[in-house]
Amino acid sequence: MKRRLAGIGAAAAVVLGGAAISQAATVLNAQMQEYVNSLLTEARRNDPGVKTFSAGEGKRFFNMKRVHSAKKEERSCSGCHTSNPLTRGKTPVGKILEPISPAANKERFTDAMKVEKWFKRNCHNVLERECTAKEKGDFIAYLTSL
Amino acid sequence: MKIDKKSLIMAAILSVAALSLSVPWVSHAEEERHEAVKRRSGDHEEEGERHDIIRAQQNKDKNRAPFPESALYKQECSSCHFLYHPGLLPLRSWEAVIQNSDKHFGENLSLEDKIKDDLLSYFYEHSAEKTDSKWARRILSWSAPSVPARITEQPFIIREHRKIQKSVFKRPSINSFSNCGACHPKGAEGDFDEDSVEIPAK
Repeated sequence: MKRRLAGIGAAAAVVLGGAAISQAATVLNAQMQEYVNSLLTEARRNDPGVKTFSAGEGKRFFNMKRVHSAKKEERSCSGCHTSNPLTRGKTPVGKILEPISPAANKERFTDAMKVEKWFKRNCHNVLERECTAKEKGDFIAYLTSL
Repeated sequence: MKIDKKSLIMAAILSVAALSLSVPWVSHAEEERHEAVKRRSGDHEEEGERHDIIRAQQNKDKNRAPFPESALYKQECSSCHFLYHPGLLPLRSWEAVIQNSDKHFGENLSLEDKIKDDLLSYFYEHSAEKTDSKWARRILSWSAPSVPARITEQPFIIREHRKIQKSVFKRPSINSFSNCGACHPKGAEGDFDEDSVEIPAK
């Protein structure tokens, strides 16, 4: 009986925890939702196997390190934004970056043009190429899940 | 004519007495004249002092130039680094920065043509040539006719920092010579006056 009760308690905790996470996650505004939808359409066109974007994949991408071919230094999203997107980061020349997660900085991921702009610049900075639609979608999924 | 010792001594005593009488009288008259002048032109003198203060302030102001606001310039440039006053480089250098923006010190800034044009218009209006300050004029005269690629490689900037040891720029809160704002807290407002410099200890 005790064990059964404990089991129910654990299940309740999982449900509550799940609810808490979905509450904490950021709800995108209309233009951002439209932008994410267009990314999903493009991602599916590139790979029909893509069903949805993955926060887990986004987290892996965010922390993935790569050596820049010309600068010969390790680069990653987390290199400047830190591995905790809820905290402030720093550019290589010391400029402070406000947190990139909308949970800590509600200005983030509200302007689709701005998001696309920074993907363009920073994907070149880290990967020396543009990011794919899947990479962008996963990235947004991760940062809005926190 | 024969002058005896006695009359010489007498003359000397008399002239000394006359002098000692006349000196206080002269100085008193002088004082009175000064007082009279002061009374008449009191207002003017105060005004003169005020002008001196304003002039000193203006001289200092010449090391200051208000920052020409631009949301675009801020977003495109100071998201990554210090918000450099556009008067810190001659126009020919800014043109080169925009032209080489796909390899901006090794980084591709991915600037669209429209943004490049808008940034150039901003620099036409606010480069060193258009900035009214002592520092901007010196940047120009010291760098001509070269095209400095970096603000920090300009002879005037180097000279102004010559007394600061290299190790100071390596302090964690400063990080590099290009992080102007670390020691010029009002630098982003175009104020590079020596009086406003604060060098962090760490």
